[in-house]
Amino acid sequence: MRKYFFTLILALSAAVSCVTRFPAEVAKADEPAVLSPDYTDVVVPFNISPLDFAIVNPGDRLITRITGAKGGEIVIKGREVKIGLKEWKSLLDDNKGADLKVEIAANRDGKWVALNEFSISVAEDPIDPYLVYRLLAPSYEFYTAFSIRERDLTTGKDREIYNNRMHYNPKEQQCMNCHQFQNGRTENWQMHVRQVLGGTLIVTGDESRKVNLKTDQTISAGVYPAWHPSERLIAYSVNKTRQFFHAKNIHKLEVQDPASDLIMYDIDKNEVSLVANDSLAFETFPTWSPDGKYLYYSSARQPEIATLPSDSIAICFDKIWYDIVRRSFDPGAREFGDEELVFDAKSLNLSAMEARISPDGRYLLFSLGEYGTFHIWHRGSDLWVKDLETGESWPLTDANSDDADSFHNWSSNGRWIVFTTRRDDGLFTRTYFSYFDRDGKAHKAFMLPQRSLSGKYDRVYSYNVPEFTVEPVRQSVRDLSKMISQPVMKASFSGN
Amino acid sequence: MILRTNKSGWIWRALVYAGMALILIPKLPVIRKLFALSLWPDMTFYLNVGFQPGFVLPVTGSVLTQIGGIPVIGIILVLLSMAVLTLVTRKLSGDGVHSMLPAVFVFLFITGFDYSLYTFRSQGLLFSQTLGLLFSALIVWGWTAVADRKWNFLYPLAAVLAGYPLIGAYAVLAAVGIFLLCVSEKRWVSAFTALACAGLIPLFYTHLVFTHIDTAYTFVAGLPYMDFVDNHKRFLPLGLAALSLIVLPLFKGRLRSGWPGLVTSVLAAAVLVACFLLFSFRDRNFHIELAMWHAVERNDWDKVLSLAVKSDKPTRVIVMYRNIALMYKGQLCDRMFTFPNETIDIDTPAQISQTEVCGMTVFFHNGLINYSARWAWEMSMMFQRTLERYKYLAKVALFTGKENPALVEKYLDIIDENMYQRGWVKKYRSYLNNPESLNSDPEYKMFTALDRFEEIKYMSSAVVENTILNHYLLQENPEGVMLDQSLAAAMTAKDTDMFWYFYDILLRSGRPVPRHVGEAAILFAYLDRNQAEIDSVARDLGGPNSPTVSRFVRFSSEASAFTPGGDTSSFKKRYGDTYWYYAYFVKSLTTN
Repeated sequence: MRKYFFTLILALSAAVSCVTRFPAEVAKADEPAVLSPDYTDVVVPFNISPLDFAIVNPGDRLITRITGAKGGEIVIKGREVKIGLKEWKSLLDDNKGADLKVEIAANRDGKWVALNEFSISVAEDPIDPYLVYRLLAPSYEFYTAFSIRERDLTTGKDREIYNNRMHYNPKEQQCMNCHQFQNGRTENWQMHVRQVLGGTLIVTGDESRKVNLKTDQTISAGVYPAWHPSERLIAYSVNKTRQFFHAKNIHKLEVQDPASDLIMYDIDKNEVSLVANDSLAFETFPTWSPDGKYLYYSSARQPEIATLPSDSIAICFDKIWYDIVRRSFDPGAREFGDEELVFDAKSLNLSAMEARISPDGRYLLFSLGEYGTFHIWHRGSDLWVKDLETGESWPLTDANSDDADSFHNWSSNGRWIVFTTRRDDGLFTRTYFSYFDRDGKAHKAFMLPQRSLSGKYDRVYSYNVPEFTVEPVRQSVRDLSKMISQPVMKASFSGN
Repeated sequence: MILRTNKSGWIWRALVYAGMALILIPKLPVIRKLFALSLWPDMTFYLNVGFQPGFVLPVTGSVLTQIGGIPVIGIILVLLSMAVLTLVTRKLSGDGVHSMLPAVFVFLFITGFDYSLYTFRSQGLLFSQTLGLLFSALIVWGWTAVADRKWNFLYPLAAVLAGYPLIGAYAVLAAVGIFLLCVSEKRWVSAFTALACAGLIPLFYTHLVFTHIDTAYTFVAGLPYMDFVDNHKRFLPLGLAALSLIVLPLFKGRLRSGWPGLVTSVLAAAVLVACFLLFSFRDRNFHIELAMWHAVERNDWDKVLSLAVKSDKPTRVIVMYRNIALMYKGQLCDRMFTFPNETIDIDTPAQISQTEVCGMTVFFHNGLINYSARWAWEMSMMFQRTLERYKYLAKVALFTGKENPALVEKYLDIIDENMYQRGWVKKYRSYLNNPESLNSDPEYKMFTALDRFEEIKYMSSAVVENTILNHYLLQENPEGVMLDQSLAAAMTAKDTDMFWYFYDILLRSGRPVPRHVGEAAILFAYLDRNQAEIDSVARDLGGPNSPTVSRFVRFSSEASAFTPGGDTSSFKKRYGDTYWYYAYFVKSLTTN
């Protein structure tokens, strides 16, 4: 018995001695903590998965202590701060609406020094639990392997929804893009499949169809989609898209639409109708207001350019500036009103793209760049909002960076913005979130929690088309593979 | 005299391995390129491709390829892998010449690598299939150890269950091998089990476990089915290697276990040589291009030029590499037409373009570094990420001077994962930390000389030589090396208008007229039938009695007597080192 007793005491002593303690005596270093990713002084949702980070500052040994203003503490040693899901959740739950204080002690030459402490504010507003995104290496014209994936933002779990090797063909690849969900729910959603087994896959509940939206009367199949919030209607832009490559320009690549219009697809009738096809304007990137009564989109009305031959339009790539406009929509009559200017970017010699209306209908979120449509390749692109009640517009300064910030979306409660940015290295697009408070201010953005701190996991990939959803996608890779294998339906054209 | 003794087995094996080594030595450029076209494996690859059945083969194949980065080590590793495969085959099928068959066939598969290597999607192909065969052989060998146990029928079940995720189709091959052995020994239960496992377990895996892959490829997982598109005969040696591996054990004890006598040896050697001639890829230009590429990477311009002359009918890839070397040596317009300059297609039945073969390198050395980076990414996305492609991405990101240093660091970190690249990475990291030092880099110096052009607002870069010619032809007021390139482009494209434009700039600059430029000027003036122009050019070239003008007079009188369709060999002999020969007799330049 005595033998067991001493064994127990020894084991307990060992366990106690292994508990990480933050050093009691630490000298101030007056040195900011440099983290990768940078989570200093950010606002995070209380339901976010652990924000693991690596400490870049030098130190033979490092200890991090995260203390909640309303209680709770996590202490972790090492350069890589990997936080357990349970203790992180508990800490955030206890500190909704309060700050977490983060202290880092570095042991240098046997002495402990404290880096400047920083805080992480825990917002009471939750973020939508899922993010669906496309993962691929920076791509131009060619590709082989990429996937659409879903991240559970509350646990960090990541799964593949579909990958383009499901229908592998060595001579012709398969591309998929523009996944979009109706109101952030996964019952009704769509994505495009190009080349092998091409078509637009439209999932409505348990049913699916693959449609060819190209008609003789429209210039292309559907491109950028916008599900109507309540009707079985999807607005699309139709674009003649081309890419060209700069020989020396830092932007490297231009994606340009020498022609573009808007159409609407009626799912029940399998019918396409025109929304906007002004031959003197380029219309693209449609989006609905949350009440479904307005269709917003970007439009460049530049007759002097629109009437040029296609190759000449390409040369004018940096002289095409898109405004944001809207048309009223009567869902009953399926009729659109006249075009109204919402944000005049052209007068600033700038181009406004990807209009997104906040769920409460008050704010218009968009990206503003030097020219053109594809702002992820434009380093000057920033996120802006316009208050549709006051008419005032401003850049989201705290969320923006010196590099491209674009392709953004609102969470379902309107308190979180997700967007893509090239701020980290100028090439690989990463997903960031920013808290948008009730005063219309966007806070410092933070990176999607990382699955690996070594950087080796996804270092040569770009995350794009991030879409919030409130529930997981209901299909598996195989389900989608079968859906994509179905014969394509040809949509008809309605002149009305 | 080779006798049927144990000793003769060693002699035979030694001869075969010596033969393999001899074959591999001229293949050094191929091994170097395979090393450059591989990468130390990391999780990045699996993030998008996912864990596929047979994933161990590309991973171990990549590791061995990366270790074999020094070609001598590469050759030793290849020979070692053949030796180990032969050793295991001997255990299965008995000692004898036949035990070398799988290794010889898989060796022939490797020596058959052709232009397809630029478009390999499979990783580590230099070793992966040998390893697959080796694992198969080990599984079958394992069966021979348990064949007499009561529970022997569980062995194929366990082997395929554990083996399929790791080695893919090679686990199926092993099960088929076990099946054949069981049938030959009338072990019907085990035979049935092996066959059922071979047929069903892969389906179980691809339908229930590996749900992210296309089930159409269930039984070829781990094989290079994504490679050699339109070039399927390259698979034949691999098929024969697999077939021999599972058939040979059936004849254990029935084949003569000793080694053949003299006559049989001669016959076997003849068969081996015939197989080598049949299956290996020996295109001279292919090997010269690879050797030139290696010299270009080392900036060894004399070596590039000495390799160029080894091809009497060079491809445009060779011509482009050669012109890069001449540019660096400042001799482009003096020597470019002293080499053959015709349009010879690359020898491949597959749809592989010149841009895929050399676009990244050629764009880089012509100052079009955005296009170089573009093709590095295009090739990475279409095929695979490789050491070579990351090196160009790192250099381009560094040279632009406008990129985020984090991007350069990222590329350097990836390259640094290979043990042989530490020096390279150190050099470029020093440039990153001390940008001033970059000015002493010869490639950077050339880049800054070639970067003096206005942005081209719209141009395709899909066809490398066409893009480069257009780029130089579009220049306004080029100077220095850009002017040389523009003159060279005008001569190559036989664009007289642009030639005269650049020629005037050359004369205004006061620089001496390079040899080929003088030849082109006198020719174009002659073709214009403008005596004043002829006189003017003759003055530029040192007067009517200058060597160039005198030689042209002879050429023009002979050329005027030439009948179209006649024999051009005498012209080639006398004027093959002039622009006139190119202008008159080299027709229809094909840039892709």
